[in-house]
Amino acid sequence: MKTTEHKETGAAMHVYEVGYLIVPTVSEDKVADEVSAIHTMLEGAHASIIAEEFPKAMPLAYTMERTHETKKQKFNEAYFGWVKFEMPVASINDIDQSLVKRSNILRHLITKTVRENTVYSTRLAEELAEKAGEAADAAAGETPSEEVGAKKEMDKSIDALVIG
Amino acid sequence: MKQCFFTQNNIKYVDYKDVDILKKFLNPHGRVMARKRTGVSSGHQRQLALAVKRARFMGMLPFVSR
Repeated sequence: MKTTEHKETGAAMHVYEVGYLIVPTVSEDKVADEVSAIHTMLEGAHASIIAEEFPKAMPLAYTMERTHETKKQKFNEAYFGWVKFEMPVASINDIDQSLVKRSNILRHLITKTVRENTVYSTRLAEELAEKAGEAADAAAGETPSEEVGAKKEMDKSIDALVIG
Repeated sequence: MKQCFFTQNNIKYVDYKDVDILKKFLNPHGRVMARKRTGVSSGHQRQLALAVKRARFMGMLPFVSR
């Protein structure tokens, strides 16, 4: 998890990931608005997005409570989504503060991470797909080699005809 | 002697979103198993413990069960 320097400004940059839980009271078609609000927040802080996953509804392992406008709320499910981005180290606190202020976000977690895909289950699927692709390429590659062989034989026969 | 699961599968960083993997290293009470039982290398065990704590905070894993 290295800190890099911005090419133009020379500011210290780092790869971060924000995981967030959106309250289930938000309807499914309004979840996209929350995501776009997070995007604009990140873009405002000069972040470049590397990867993300759109929020999906999931049951929570335990009941989460929060006090919202003097009322206690309890949640047993939420929409979980994440976004991985690179941004100047100095502005990560602003992102944290602005996420706290958003009432539709139940919880969020900012972690330092790496550019590469760290989710093993998806990485495994990608690797298997890559291997399957390579196997398909190898299978397809046999036909061109046969074609090359046939072409060589044809060249030989043409040569024999020309010489003859 | 047991081999480290993460080293065997070439997992450099233990991610808190990999709940299915994390669950393998929890006992029925939801506590992280000891290295003695899991055979995970010390570095990966520390990463595993941190990932479990993050997953608990995000409601993916329980703090206690049963």
